[in-house]
Amino acid sequence: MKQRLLERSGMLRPVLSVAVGLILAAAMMALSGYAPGEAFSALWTGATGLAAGPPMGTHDLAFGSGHIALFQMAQSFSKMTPLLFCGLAVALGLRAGLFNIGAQGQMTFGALAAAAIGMRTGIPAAVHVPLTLAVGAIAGAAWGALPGLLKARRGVHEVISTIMLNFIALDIANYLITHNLHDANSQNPQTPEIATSAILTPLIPHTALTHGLTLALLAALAVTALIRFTALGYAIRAVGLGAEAARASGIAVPRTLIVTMALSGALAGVAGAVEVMGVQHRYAVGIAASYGFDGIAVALLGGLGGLGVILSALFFGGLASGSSYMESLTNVPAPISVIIQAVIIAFVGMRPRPRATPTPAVPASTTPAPTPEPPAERKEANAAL
Amino acid sequence: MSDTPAPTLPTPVSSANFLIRMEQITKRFPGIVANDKVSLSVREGGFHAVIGENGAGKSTLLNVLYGLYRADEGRITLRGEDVTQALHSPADAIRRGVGLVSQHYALIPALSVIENVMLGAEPLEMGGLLNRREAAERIAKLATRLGLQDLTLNQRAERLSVAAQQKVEILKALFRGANLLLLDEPTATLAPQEADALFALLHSLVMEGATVVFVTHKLREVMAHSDAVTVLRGGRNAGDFRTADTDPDELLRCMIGERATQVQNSAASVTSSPTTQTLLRIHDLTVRNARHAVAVQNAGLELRAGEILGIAGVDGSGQRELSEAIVGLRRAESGELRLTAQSGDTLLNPLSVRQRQQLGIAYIPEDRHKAAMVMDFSIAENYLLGHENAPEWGGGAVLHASRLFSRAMQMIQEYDVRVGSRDANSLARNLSGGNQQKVVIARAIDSKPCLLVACQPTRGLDRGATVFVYDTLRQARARGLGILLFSLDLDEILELSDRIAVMFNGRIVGLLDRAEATPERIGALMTGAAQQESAGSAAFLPSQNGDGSGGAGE
Amino acid sequence: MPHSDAGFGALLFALLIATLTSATPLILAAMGGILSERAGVVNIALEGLILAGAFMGVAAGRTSAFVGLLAALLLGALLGAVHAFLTQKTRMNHVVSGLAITLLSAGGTRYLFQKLLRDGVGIEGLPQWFFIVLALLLPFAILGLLSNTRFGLRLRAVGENPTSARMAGIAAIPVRFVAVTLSGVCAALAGAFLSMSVAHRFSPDMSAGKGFIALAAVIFGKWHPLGAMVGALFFGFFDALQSQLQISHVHLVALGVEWTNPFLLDALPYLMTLAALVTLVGRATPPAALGLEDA
Repeated sequence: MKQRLLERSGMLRPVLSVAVGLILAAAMMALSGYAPGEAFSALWTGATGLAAGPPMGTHDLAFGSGHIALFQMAQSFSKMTPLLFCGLAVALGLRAGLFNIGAQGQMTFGALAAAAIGMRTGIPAAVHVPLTLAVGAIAGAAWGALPGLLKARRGVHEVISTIMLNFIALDIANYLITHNLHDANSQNPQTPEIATSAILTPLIPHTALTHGLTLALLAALAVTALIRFTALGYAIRAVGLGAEAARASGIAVPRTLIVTMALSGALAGVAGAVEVMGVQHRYAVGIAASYGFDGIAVALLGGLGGLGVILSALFFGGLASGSSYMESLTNVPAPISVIIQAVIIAFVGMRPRPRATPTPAVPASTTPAPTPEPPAERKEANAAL
Repeated sequence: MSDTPAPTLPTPVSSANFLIRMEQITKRFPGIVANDKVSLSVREGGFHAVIGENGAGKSTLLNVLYGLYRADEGRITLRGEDVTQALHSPADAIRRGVGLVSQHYALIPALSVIENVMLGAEPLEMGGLLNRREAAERIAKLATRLGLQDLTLNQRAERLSVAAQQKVEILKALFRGANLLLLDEPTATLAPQEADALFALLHSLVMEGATVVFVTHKLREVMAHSDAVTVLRGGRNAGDFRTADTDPDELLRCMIGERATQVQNSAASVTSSPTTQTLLRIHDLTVRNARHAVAVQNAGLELRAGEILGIAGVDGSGQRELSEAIVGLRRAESGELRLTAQSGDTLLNPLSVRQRQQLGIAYIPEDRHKAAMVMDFSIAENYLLGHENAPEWGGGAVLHASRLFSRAMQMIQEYDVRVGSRDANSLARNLSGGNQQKVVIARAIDSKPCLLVACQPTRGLDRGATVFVYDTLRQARARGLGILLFSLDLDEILELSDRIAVMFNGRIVGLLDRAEATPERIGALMTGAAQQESAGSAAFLPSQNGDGSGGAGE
Repeated sequence: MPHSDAGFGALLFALLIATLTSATPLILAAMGGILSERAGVVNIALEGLILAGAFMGVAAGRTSAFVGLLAALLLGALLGAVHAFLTQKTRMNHVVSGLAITLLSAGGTRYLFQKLLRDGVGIEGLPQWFFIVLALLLPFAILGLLSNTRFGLRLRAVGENPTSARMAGIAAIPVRFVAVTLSGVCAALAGAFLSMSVAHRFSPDMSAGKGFIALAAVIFGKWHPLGAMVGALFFGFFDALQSQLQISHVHLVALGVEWTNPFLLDALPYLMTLAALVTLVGRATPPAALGLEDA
């Protein structure tokens, strides 16, 4: 059961998984000839901003016997923002039993749409900002609803469809930013800069940290409330945990799947919009980086609760910021963070072999089950690939 | 503890008489001791029955003998050899000539018959290739003995009827050289005539030197076929008898202990007085199954308010598709479903499941674990299932969790749902089958329906839970509900129904009043051995053979 | 025009060869998918296995191509065994396990690439015909394996109903271990082709989604080896078509869109894969026990 894979016995499993991931990374570094201690120290500074020694630049604050490199700290939080949105997107999908691997493409389109609207001039900021965010959400929602629709109506497994749509989204985006939406003043494949009325101002000057983070935290709250307190959230959980029972009780399973994917896509779309509005101020190649995929790790590590996803996004944000800082300082290739991600996912996902139970593979019940249904009949969201 | 001292088998002169001795077998699972120092001794060439209620530990014992479980304590001796440590898996049991015929998970539907039989004992030619020719020859010889002469080996196993599948299971065991056959509830899904044929077959195998141990809860079968009986109750031995020396009453007392045999013949005790008001009218209904084959053909029925209409049939006769069509889970291809209730006369065909629910149709699905409950939801959340948009719970916007919780606690009290701390937040998967079913039924009844579609409502339940279900259904009937009871269990149909419809091959081939219904008559209809002229208010097509070739009417 | 026939014929021929070349890694990886999925294990890791094979083939193939190939296959087998271990022994959700392995492979190969192969030196590698012939023959071999060998029968049984198989005395886990390990070998073979025969070097993410397209081919082919092969050829055709169109500098503009732009052409195979899955006539029925975590 996909949703059960998010259950954890408290904090132990995730913390342990993170520890194992870091240890394995250290081993890999050592084997490659790097000094793990030095690398991890750079990783730590890049993630938290905490460093030894006195403040060095205008962006450093004295802290105890060392200093805080505000830029690095802000980097972590600013990377946390899209990770939180994408993590929420994936987590929401998982609630309904859907693996949304498409956050990448949904974020791409959200960013593209935001850039397209953002570059329009003459709109007051009070309207422009929410409008651009909304447009980003809608674009993401559409790109998310599509695989949802395909799954609900045609049984196309969402893992393959979302991955295909990721590639297609990237190609369409690359085309548009070199043609229709191309910045005429530049050779680079990018859109023109967005209007100042659409820009999210940084909370700390010269950093990428904006109220996008606030928005992400609010989104986490909203998603938690949706799942916990509304009938739609109940239906989503029912579909994820027991699609057949949901269907037999009258819940419109296909519609629930589509709505969930749309909401999921919307969250990823907003991630893209925030990146455009707060970080790059335009759509440039690679703006979505790998946030969509990282969101999967964020969701799996974070579990079901909103707080878990927030903490998980905080961790991965720090890891992302830290590993690029680490690479610039120690030459340890940044992809090591991807390896850490993989190990964490693997360890979080393990489940112990149960001891034999009274309802085992061969049930003790003596009244027989009816003739097995052909697999096409199984309406579980966890349909096979 | 049984009141009456259980007579035991005479002490054997030598243990060489015994094919199997299971001594003091204990098997524990988390939270339950399925077998508690259970002993079983079976003579070579014997026809031995193991009986007990659902949950008494019969299947577990068989599974231990077959190597599916390891006993925690105890000793197993097979033909004088101590095999307790040697039985790690079914492969070990098979190697020692033990065969198990279990009803579920029997054959693999997508594989062909020959592949199913060969599996695990594949004859090989050079290079590890399957020797299908040799397998086919060996199977042909065995098939004739079993009355399966016309068995097409290369067809997919799912095309076989249930009775045929079971014979193939026995063939599979014989193919591996089994001479000890273990059968777990072999007749549960068979019509009476098919069950008789099965036992005749088993007797002939015993005459050729096999030994049979079968698990059942049907005392009829025990008295008619076995020569020795072991009774289990609550995971322990409750008695060992020679069949010739005992009778059904004694066996029943042994099975259920001091509790009164109140279930017997209680059908007469609750008066049923169905009205003449038609509640549901099914007219000329045709329904296709998931593979687009016709599962229900031109069916016609009328259900009256205040009656229980039982629908009997063998597995695959179309019961499931018909029940799904009525509830709205499956679109009918043609025909009409009409509900006549307070809201007036409504055509159900275009309505969704939810819409039909709102008209007062309640549903108890046959698969409790997958279709009736969400196992990882709490009891309260399961109780809500289907009603999450109802105004009393917030009308779709905000769910009143506390209100739901207290209502669920109320339900738990009312229906005596046994759960750890009487907590409505307990997960459904932590309840026993009987208690889960109580929640399902409570949910259906509490929604104040006018029509209840109940499918296999007591499957896997022990006697106490079964009695509860029967009482609840009767009370609902007394309040004026119309109940459609779909069941593979003929005893249950006879126990509860006011009228009985019989399905065969997707058609309704008979409609009887309870008074005129006997197992033989129903069995004949269930197996297509007899057709019935139209009776009462039901409508039938002229009788035809099941394969549609058209035959003369009777 | 006198040259048109010859030109058209040459174009067709080029397209045919390109199709075979594009389809070869897809067929090889799809066969891995068949082995794994028919045994009941969803294999999203194909993408990562391809990358791993591609990397290892180049990294170990500098001295001897044969050694490189062998090393690639061994790595594929190892990662396949990890997938089997995670899904069977730790009961991990199959998709999560596949994702973890793909991530591990993507990150690991990128990390090692940055460390070891920065110099960008190409290798001679292996001739393409070797892999192409293999790709055309392997599906038949797999079909024979599944239908006519004891292992193949047990593999199918375990993928349909492991409980029945157990009752017949066959343990599911060992069979699945072998099946999934073999699937790793097949996928690594696909990767080795990409790096050793086509590009003659490794670049990160050079698999470009081929592992997922191969999985789509498996579904499209209804989990039958020959069907998957047809599916792979179908998807390979569109990959070949788009690259041929790019090479030939054909220009097509309609409705204000330059349809032959390299970016949009690049999307063609993915689009066709999606379209094929959407329009599958009658839903394909997977092996009954596919993806079940507790079976």
